[in-house]
Amino acid sequence: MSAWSQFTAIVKRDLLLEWRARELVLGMLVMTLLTLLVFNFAFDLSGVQRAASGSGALWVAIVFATLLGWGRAVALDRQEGAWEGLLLSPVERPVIFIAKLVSMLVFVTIVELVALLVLAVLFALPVLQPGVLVVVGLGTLGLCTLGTLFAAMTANVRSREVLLPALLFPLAVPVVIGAVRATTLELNGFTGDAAPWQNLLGGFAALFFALGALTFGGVTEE
Amino acid sequence: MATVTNTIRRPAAAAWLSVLAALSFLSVALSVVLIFLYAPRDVDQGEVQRLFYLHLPTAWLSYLSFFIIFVSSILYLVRRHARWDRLARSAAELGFIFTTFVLLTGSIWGRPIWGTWWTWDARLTTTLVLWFIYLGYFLLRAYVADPERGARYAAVLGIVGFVDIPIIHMSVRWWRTLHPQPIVVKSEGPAMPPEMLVTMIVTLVAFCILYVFLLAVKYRIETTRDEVMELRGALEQHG
Amino acid sequence: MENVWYLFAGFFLTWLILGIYLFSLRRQIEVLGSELASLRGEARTSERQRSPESATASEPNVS
Repeated sequence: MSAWSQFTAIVKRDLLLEWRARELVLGMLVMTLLTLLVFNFAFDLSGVQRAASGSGALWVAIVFATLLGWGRAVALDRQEGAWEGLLLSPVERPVIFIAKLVSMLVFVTIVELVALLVLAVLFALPVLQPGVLVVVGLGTLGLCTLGTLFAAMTANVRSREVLLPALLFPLAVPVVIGAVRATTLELNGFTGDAAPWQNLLGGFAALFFALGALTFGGVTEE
Repeated sequence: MATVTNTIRRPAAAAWLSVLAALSFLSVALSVVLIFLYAPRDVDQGEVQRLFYLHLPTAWLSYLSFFIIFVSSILYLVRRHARWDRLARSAAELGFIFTTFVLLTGSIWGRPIWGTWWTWDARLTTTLVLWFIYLGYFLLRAYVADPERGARYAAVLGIVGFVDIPIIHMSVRWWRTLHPQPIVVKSEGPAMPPEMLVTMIVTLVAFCILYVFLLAVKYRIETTRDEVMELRGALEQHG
Repeated sequence: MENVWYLFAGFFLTWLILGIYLFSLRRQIEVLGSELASLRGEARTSERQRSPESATASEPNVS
C-alpha cells in the first residue's frame, strides 16, 4: 500500500467509526456549547466588549473541546487494541501522525462550525467572515498538531486527563494568545493588525507539524 | 562529600567534585560579599535592587538548563545511550529549581518596585510558562511506567518544548506591547556603573560554577540510581 | 533603607531553598549508596551460590 492509500485508510476508518458511534463529536459539541453558555454568564458577551470576551470564550471552548476530543479518541482507540494494531502495522510513522491529525481536525472543525454559528446568532458577533475563519483554522491546526503528539505519548498512561493538559497548555500558549488577539481584531474590523498574529499562528502550525511528524516515530516505537 | 566520593570509583572524578564544591562555596561567598559591601546602592530602587544580582544569573541558568535538556534529548533519541537521558533528567531538576528562583526573586523584587507581587510582563510570563513546561516534564516522567519509554517521551518533550520557548516569549512580548502597561518597567536601567558590572559578573560566574557542581552531583546520583535499577532487575531475573 | 526587608526575604528564601536542595541531594546519595551496597552484596552471594552448583538453585535468594 502506498503512503497515500494508508493515510486515506486510517482517516476513513476513524471517520466511519465516529459516524457510527458519534460519541466523540457529540461530546465535544456539548462541551463547547456549555462553555459558551457559562461564559455568557461569566463575562458580558452581549455588551460593548463582546468581541474580546467572545473571542476569548470561543478559544477557551475550542481548547477544552480539543482536550476532551483527544482524551476520548485515545481511549476509543485503545478499546479494541486498535492503537497497538496500528503501530504494529508497517505504516510509516509520519503517515500515522498526519492521518490521526486529519481525523481530529475533521471532528474539531465540525464542532467549531457549530460554535461559530452559535456565536453569530446568539451573541451577534460577525464571526462568519474570512479573516476569522482563517484564524480559527490556523489556531486549530496548531492546537491539534501538538495534541496529536501528546495524545500518542499519553495513550498508555493512567492519568491522561491530567497529563495531556499539563503538557499541552504551556506549549500552546502562543496559539491561545495569537488566536484570541487575532480573532478579537478581526471581529472589530482591524484586519491589518491581525495579520502578524495570523503569521505567527501559521508559522507555529507549520513548525510543529514538521516537528511532530519527525518525532512521532520516537514516541511510537512499540 | 565523602558519601558522594564513595560511590565514585574513579579517584580523579572524586577529586574534581571536591574541587568544584570548594570553588562553588568560595565564589558564591565572594559574590555575596560583593553584592552587599562592594556594589553601590541603586539610586532609584534602593537596596532592594541587589536582588537583581540573584535574579539575572538564575534566569540565565534556567534557560541554559533547558538548552542542555534540548541537546541531551536529541542525542538520546539519536544515540540511545543512557548518559544523555541522565544528563537531561539532572538538568531538568536543576532548571526547575532555578526557574523557581527567578520567579521568587523577580516577584519579591517587584513588590516594592512595581507595587505588586506579579505583573504579566513578557519575561516573567515566559518564565512562568517555562516553569509549567518543566512541571509537565516531571509529570510525564513520573506517570509513564516504563522508564525507557519515559526517557523517550521526555526527550521529545525536551525538543518540542525548547523550540517553543522563543515562540512563547515572542507571542507574550507582542501581547504585552499591544497592551497598555500600568507601570513602566525599568528592569535593568541605563548603563551599569563598573562596580555593579563587576559584581554582576562575579555573581554570574559563581552561580555557573555552583550550577556545574550541582549538575555533576545530580548526574552522579542518577548514574547510581540507574545502577541500582539494573542490579535489582538482574537479581530478580536470576535470584 | 525601607525596602531592605524585601531584599533579605529574597536572599533568605533563595539560600533556604538551595540549602534544602543540597540536603535532599545528600539524602539521595545516602539512600542510593546504601541500596547499591546491599544489592551488590546480594549479587555477590547469589553468584557464589550459583557457581559451585550446576543444578538449578533449590531456593530463591530472597532478602
